[in-house]
Amino acid sequence: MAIISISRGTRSGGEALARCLADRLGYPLLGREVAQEAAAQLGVPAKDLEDKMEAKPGFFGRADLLTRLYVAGVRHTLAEAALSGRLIYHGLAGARLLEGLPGVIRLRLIAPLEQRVQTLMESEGMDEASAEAYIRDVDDGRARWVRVMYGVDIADPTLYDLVVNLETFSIPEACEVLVRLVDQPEFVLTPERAADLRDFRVQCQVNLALLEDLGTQTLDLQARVRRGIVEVSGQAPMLRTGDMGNRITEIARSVPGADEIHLKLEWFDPYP
Amino acid sequence: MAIITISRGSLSGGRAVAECLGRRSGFAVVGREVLQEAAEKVGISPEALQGKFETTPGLWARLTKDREKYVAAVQTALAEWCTRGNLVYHGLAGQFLLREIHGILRVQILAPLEMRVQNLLATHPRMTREQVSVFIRKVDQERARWVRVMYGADVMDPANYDLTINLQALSIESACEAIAESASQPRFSLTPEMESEIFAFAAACRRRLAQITGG
Repeated sequence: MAIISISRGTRSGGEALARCLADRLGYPLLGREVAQEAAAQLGVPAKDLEDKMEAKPGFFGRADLLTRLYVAGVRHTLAEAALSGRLIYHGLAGARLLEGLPGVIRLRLIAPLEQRVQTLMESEGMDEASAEAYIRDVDDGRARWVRVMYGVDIADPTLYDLVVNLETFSIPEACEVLVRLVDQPEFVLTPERAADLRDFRVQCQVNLALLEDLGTQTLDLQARVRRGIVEVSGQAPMLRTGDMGNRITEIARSVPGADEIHLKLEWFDPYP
Repeated sequence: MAIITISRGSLSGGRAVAECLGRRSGFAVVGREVLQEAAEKVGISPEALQGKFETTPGLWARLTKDREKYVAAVQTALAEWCTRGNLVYHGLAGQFLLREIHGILRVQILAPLEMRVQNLLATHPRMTREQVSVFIRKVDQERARWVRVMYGADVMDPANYDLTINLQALSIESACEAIAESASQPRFSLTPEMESEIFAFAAACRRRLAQITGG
């Protein structure tokens, strides 16, 4: 029983593999809809969130607050969906969004450019040059997004557990290999793993709540959760009223499943 | 039933994965033995031959007869193993040495540097962490350079393999299972066509080696 995140260049066959896995394993399947669900929860139009998630950040751009909020929203939606320990996710940046969670198979699919150009030409009736330009454009956008958000190279094989080359493997063959892998003892949903999945959901929800609150959203706080104990780290201003710590604690405590809150903050003087 | 090449950095667990496949599927497993047999063919020590494979040929030495001879010897020894049937090879550059044969399952095994450092420290307790880490990086760089010079390819590029498996989170057994399942797909099975291709390749390797050493 595993969570499989599928990363791939556009038109590499990721969706077909995701569907095959969902059929064979009977797991829920989640792709772009994750953005719609997250948008609904945040109360923003899905289009805004998708645009932000897919927009190419400027060359020197740092992720802005809104992007961070949307990413936290998507991660929270994903954490909810992953709670049962069974999920196929083929949306953007799965390997990064699910980072730190055990029982995840981070899969990357690769296929030669010519093969992908051919697929696109056949499905959309495009000529070769525009098909190639389209693929490069989408790939570059995703790669830049992942680089800006997470500072990593999307094509780096060390970021994945498994890289399958679709120049050789067909989709049904790749599907068989994954089905067999998921059967391995390390993917059994033990009580330990189930607790990890609950912690991850709480952690994602606390982080989202801290980004939604006007008082804490600019502080770059990080919550980590272990067996219901929330530890919030980062820098916070030492206010004369002394209530910033209380506010952070209150926000974290409002999340169901957050049993205990520990603050590990570095305080700074906002009025030097 | 198939022929599998496993490429890996030193101490990445590639050998353990190969041995697991041998136990599980009854494949012959070879690594260094190929180098020893090749060394006998050209009358040098296996260590000297390994050195030829792991140090970068100079710009001018790239196509010298000398180097050609050593590569041909290893290629011949490996091809002879392939003629005996199901095989897992976990030595250097298998995917390149056998690239003229179609239907081989080319696997790359990755492991985080930290895991590899621990593996080496466990067997060499007198080495320091620093020494171990420097050693691993050096061997990686030399192998990568060797493959770049000899084959114009990036040894780390997953496009050179059918399957790349990272042992950071996956166990040896899981890696073994995924490879075994891949190898059982019909496209990797040892068909009569593939067998005749292998025999022809082995014969061509032997001829080339005889030509070089005789001439």
